[in-house]
Parts: sequence; C-alpha cells; structure tokens
Amino acid sequence: MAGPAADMGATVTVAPREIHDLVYRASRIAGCDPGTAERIAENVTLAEIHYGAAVRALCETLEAADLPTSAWATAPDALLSAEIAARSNGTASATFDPPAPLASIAASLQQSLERGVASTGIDGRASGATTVGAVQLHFVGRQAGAASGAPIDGARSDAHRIGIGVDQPWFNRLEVAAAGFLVAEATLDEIDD
Amino acid sequence: MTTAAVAPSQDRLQAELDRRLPRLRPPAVVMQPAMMGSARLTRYSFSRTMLRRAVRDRWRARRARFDIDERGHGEAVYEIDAGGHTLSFVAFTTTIDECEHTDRVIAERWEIAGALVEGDLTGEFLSLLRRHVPRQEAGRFDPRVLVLTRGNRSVRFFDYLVDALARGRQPDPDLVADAGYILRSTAFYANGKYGMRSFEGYSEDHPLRIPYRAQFVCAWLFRELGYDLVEHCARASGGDAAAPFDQHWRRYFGLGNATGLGLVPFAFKHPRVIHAWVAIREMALADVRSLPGNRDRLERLDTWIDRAHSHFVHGTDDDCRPFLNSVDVATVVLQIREAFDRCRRDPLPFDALYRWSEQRGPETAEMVVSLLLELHEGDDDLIDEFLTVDEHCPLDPAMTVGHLRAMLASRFEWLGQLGLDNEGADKWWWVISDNTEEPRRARRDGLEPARRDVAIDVAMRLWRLRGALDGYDDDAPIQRVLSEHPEHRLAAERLSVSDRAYTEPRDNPCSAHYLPLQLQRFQLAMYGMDNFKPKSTDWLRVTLFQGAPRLGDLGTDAGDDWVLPARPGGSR
Repeated sequence: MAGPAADMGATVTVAPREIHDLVYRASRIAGCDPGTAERIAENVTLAEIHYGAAVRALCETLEAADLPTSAWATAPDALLSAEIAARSNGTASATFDPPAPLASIAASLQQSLERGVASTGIDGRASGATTVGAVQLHFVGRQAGAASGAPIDGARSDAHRIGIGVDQPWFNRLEVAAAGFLVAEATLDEIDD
Repeated sequence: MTTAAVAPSQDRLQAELDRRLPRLRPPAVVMQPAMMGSARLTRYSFSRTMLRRAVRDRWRARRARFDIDERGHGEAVYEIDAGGHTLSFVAFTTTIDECEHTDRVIAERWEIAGALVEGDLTGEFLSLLRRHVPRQEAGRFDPRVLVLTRGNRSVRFFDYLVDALARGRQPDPDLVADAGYILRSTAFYANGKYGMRSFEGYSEDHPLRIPYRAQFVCAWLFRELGYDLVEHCARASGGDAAAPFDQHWRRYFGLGNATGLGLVPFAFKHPRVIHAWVAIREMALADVRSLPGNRDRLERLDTWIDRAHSHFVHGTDDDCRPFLNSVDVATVVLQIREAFDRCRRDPLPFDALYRWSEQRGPETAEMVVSLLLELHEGDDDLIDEFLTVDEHCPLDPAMTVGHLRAMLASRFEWLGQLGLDNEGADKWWWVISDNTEEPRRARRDGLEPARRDVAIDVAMRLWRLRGALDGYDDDAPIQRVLSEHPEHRLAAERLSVSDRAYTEPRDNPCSAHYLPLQLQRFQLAMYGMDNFKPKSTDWLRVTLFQGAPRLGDLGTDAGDDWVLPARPGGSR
C-alpha cells in the first residue's frame, strides 16, 4: 500500500476499475464519443488483465496518434461486422489495416465468443501491445463459446481479488492523459456564482 | 418468495415479478420523479438487511482497541467475526476547528477517518493505514482495504452530549432529540477505488458479497464509534460523576450523512441495479396488498402506524422543501391512521389503504408502502441474491434496426413526455470536479463540456438515436448504423441493457427543471436512511441506523423492529 512515488520504475498494483475509469476519461479527452470510449476502456482493461502491456499500448497511441480514427476505435467495428458474417456463413475474416493492437479488440473478441463466434490467428504468447493483422472467426455456438471463455473469467476474477500489476510509469502517463477529463473546482464554483 | 431452481438471479427475479404482474405498480407510477423522491426506508433497505444477516448468522463484534485521549484524539479498532471472516473498522480521530467543518465531500480535513479492512491487522498494516487513511482520496490502498470513509462530529451536539454525561445527566430531549446523530459521515468509498478491493474480488461465499453490505458494516461501526467517543470524553471530563447513555438513549442516535450529487450519476449508469432495488420493494408490496386482514396483521400495522407517528412528531419542523418535514410527516401518518381505521374491515384492507394513499399523493403513498412492507416476510437469502445483478449485456451487433426501433418504442415510450426538443432540455451537463472527483453539474451557457461530460443524459441520447434510425431500413444491422454514427453507440447499448421494467428513472437530468434531490432521496431510502433535510437543490442531510442495535446487542435477540425510534423522555 505504498504511495505512487515509492513505486516509480516498478509495478503498481491497481484495481481493474481504476484502469477502466482512466482509459475512459483519457479516450474522451482524446476525442472519442462516450460509447467508443467505454468500448476502449473495456478492451484495455480486459487486455491488461489477460495479456498485459495494454495500458502501455494505449498510451503510445494517445501520445502519438489520433485516437478516434485509430485502430482502438475502428478495429472492434471491423471485428463485429465480420462476426455478423460468421454467424450467417459459418466463417469470416476480420482484417485490420493497419494492424490493430490486441488490446484494442480483447473484450470485443470475448463478447463475440459469448455470442458463439470463436477466433483464431492470435499468438498464444501475444501481449496487449502485439499487433494483429487479421483474425479468422468461426461460428461455434453459444454453449461452446461460453465454455472456452473460462480461462479469461478466471484471470478476471483474480484481478478483482488481488489487483493487477501495471508498469508504474505507463500508469502514471495514463493518469496524466485522463486528468483533463476533470474540471477545476474553482471553475465550477465561478460559473455557479 | 421461496428459493427454487438454479437460474441466474435476474431471471428468477423476473419470474417472481411475472407471477405478481397484475398486482404490481407499473413503472409509469413508480419511476416518476415525484414518486421516487418520496421513497422511504423499508424492511428491505440495506441497513435493515445487513443487521438481520448479522444477527441471523451470529456475527460477533467487539471493540478491539481504543487508544483515545481526553479530547477524543487517537485510534480505535472495532472487530467483527462474520462467519469466519475477520473484518476491522480502523478509525483515526482528531478535532478540527469549527470553521473547517463542512459537509462537502471535497473538504480536506476530517475529524474521523476510517477504513473497513479484512485480515490480520499487523503492526505493519496498521502503520500503513495510519499514513494513508487520513489522506482519504490522496491515499493509496490495496485489496485488504474494503471501504474508506470519513466524517465529523456534530457541531451542535457532540460537546453538549459530552458535557451532559460528564455531569452524570442524560441529554435533554428538547435540546437534542431532533438531531438523531452524533457523527456525520460524507462518503463510503469502495469497489476498487484507490486500489481497494473490487466487489467482484469477494469470493462467492464471502459475507460481504452482497452489494453495499461492506459499506453498511462500516457505517454501523462508524456509528458505534460516535457513542464511544462521547462516553469516553465524558468520563475523561467528569470522572466518577460521569454516566453512560442510559437504556433510553443508548440506541437513539444514528449516524448522520451528508449526500451530494454523486448519487445521481450512479442511478443513471446502473439501470439493472435500480431495477433490482425497485423490483424487490414492488414484489413485497404486491404480496402485502393481496393479504386478507387477520387480527395479527391488523394489529401489527396499527403498531407500526403508532410508532411512525411517535417518531416523526418529535422530529424537526424546519423547512425541508421539497420534502415534508418530520412534523408534517406526522400529520400524514395521522391521516393514514384515520384511513386505515376506515379500511380495516375491507376484505383486502392493505390494498384498500394503498389505493387510498395513491390518491393522496407521493409522500402519503410512499409512507404507506414503507409501513405495509413491515408486514412482509420475505426470504433474505433470496433478496440478497436478487440484489447481485449482472450488468454485462453487450449489444448484439446483428440486431436489426427494426428490432431496435421496436425496443425503443416499447421500453422508452415515455421519452415523448419529457419535452426533449424544448429549450432548456439540455441546459445542464454533468461533470467531475478535480477536487476529490466529486460529480457536479454545470450550465452549458457557462462552460462548454468539451468532451468532459459524464454521459448520464440517457433520455437525450435515446431521443437522438430515435431520430438517427429514421435514415435506415428495418432490416439493416445496428452495427452498420453505429459504424457510421459512433456517437449513438452509448444509446444503443443502453437500449440493450435496459431490459426490465424498473430500470429507468423517467426524468432528464440535463433539463433546466431537473431536481437532483428526488433521485438522491430514492437511493438514500433504499440504503435505509431517513430524516431527509435538503440544504439546497443538490445536497441533503440524512440519518441512518437510528434506533439500531449496538455492537453488544449482536448475538442476542436483537430483533428487526428498531427503526423509527421514539424520542426518549416522552411526548412533546
């Protein structure tokens, strides 16, 4: 339970909710609408839990690119469109050009799985920062999809119980990126008067 | 309500509702702002369910440590053994100058800072808590910490109570009895904030794996600290002459609470949670309304009506608009008494009483609901299960526009009554302040949102989605709409998750006419709070656990009839 300063250069243990809230805020300030920001937050949080390096990958985009037109905002749509095709045709391919960080589609893949559409083409050793050019989608049915989601559910449960270790400098950068979502108390008091 | 087959709790809750459908109050009545803003605590409010669980499961509680000086400065630890889980409320106390007292959540100093923690309270852990808990939001915690809270002494009454007890006297009812509390809290942070344990981090069989149970354990122990501080300071001051609170006063005081705008975003962000809270109450009401009036039930309701009158008639006569003050509530209770005397020979007297009350307006109706629910004997295990809600309901991208349009028409037909195209419909936006992240609202003509808005403008967003769908064929997948118009994603997702009757307060929080107090009162009543004293349109003071069993009462036949305590010292 040390303060953030004591953890510089190390790992800080955070609750999943903290990642979610900060990513949401940072995404809003970077120009995303609330629905897209919420989706990015879900993707990054799950990816940080299951693959790691998701916060880092997002921060790199936040600092170098336009988030609303980046893969973080658009890749899940490509995935969902392919999911609809897979549910009709049995299989489909989602392609991401440019390749998308795994962290940008992690929760979306999980939700597709819950609807019975499984994916292949992702390296089992991938981190959240690993980019993905395409995924193959296969309709397997809801029951099979739910069963194959169990390991992710286990990791999620552990994260809620003991927290997630996140690289401290990247977490700090996320905090800085999200800070603009808050409005100064003095400003609010001023317009109230 | 009986425990039955294994099924997701939401489905089982829905099955219970379906069974009672003809007798349920419709959402068009229940979810109206004026009705929500008249809600009162019931048998199923969280303070009540928590204490029933503690008694039923034979939780044991004790004051484990009390290193407090004569001014009330120091550290105290209260410990609960809850089914083999050791929970500790660790409090750090001091005093601050009266001019620094504020109910605002943004205050920087507090007289009491506390945390509910689980596990061994080692010297190292205590040392960490000592450093971080008084800093509150600026502190950093880990999953051993479950709840973080703070508060102040009552400026009006704390010193008076100490002085009275120090002289060996009990308080003068005319001086303090409308206060209802010794300490006043402002926030109970939990669920992963500042690194604390997430709600989902509790194991399936953990006694705190019920929404808000951890916060209410913490609040109950916070209240206990108030009694101990007063009696301790009185002994330090009065020595052998000092007296403890006598049997009339030892339960009378609850814990005060000051509540601001933070509750409003919660209510608009968690539709399935709100549904569960309302549905439990409505199921119980439907059950009681269908009961015939045997002697036992009639007498029990008589007792509760009398009890309510005795409680409220000694409360405040301050201006509490838009709510009734306690004395006016007592007048309402007298009217309820007269109406019940007329209804008691009706074949369904409780239904007749409720139907009468609905004609009298929301304050009367919700007071009757609160009283009637005292006759309900629901299964607490099932109630706890119903409160644990799965909020995960992602939108199916293959859903057609036609389906979405139909959902919009059936679930949100009331949007057309809100004047969402009128001037003033979008006057306010909701914002988070940089000072302790307190939610507030700001006028659009005073400050541009600039993508900093808290997106609780549910009604406005769904209204705009409705317009946007006009350009699409019925058989188009919603995914196509959202790829082209991502600004409608949140509304479409909301439509998906808002799949139950009581999910939506029928109001527009951005309207010029929006009154936050109504939704605040609804939530506070669900928590088990009472004595609603608005201090503006945006915040109010309340009391909880007034009359509740004390620490030492656990393990005895503590009973559940502790709410609405009468003022010690007889009638006014």
